[in-house]
Amino acid sequence: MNKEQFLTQLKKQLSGIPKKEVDDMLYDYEEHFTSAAAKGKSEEEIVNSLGSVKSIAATIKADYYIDNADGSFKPKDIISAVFAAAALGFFNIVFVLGPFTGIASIIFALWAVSFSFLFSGFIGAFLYTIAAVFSSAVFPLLAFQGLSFITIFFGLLTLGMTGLFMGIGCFYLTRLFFKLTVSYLKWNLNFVTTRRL
Amino acid sequence: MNIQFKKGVLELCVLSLLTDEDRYGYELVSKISENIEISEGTIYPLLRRLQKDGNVTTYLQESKEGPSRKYYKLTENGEKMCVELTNEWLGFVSKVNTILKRSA
Repeated sequence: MNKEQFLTQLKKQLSGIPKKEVDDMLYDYEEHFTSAAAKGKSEEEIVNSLGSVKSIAATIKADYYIDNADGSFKPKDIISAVFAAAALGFFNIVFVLGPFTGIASIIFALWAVSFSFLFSGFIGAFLYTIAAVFSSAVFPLLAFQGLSFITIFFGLLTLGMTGLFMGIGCFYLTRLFFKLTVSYLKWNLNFVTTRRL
Repeated sequence: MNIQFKKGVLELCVLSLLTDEDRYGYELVSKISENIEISEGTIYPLLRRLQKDGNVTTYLQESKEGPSRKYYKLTENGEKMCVELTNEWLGFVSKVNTILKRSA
């Protein structure tokens, strides 16, 4: 592989990172080639001692995406950071991607339950009221059988409220989870990282 | 050498080399790889991290050999960090040595 191929491959592997960052990075490697060539090294030699493009790109990406996820609460940013860290090696697939996927699934399930409570509760209460009003118009004698209407109506309302509060809980839980994930990734990058040197 | 081992040490080497004078990337790389076997390409992400964390700053300077070079300069924070890491390292090494050289 020569200089041109090395830089082209690196650029290709860094797709997804803003152009400015990539240009900065590529500048460093171009300068490396110029300086090393000035010391009489061939392009081939320089490329060999630089190490594999894949592992360099993986390191740069992990650095970038984890920084990018720091302070962000967008699921996309967090997930990108987790995957970039997982790409650093087998250890991280097990100790980053594994736990993240597990906990994320539980939180997702909690969200799903909140939403189903919320919607079935409120929409149920609404439809039930309409049905009750309608049936009382058609069958006046059956109208609003006192207790049972109120019980069912408030039962549904309570279900909806439970969903609402659970949803609020999920919101804070998700934020906390994202925050902890980023802290763990930063720690992981500094101490446990399996990037090749 | 063991990979896990090298990681933190590399950062210390870079900081330490910068205490003498400002240096450009390739200079740092070759000083280190004279002694420790590394994939040279991984130094640049490390330098960027040091820069982002405010331990080094960079400036461009003309060179005789072609385009301008990016020089790395230690900040006050970086100096502090270098002292801390050096002490940690020396303390660690002396403890390990105590164990290795114990009189059985």
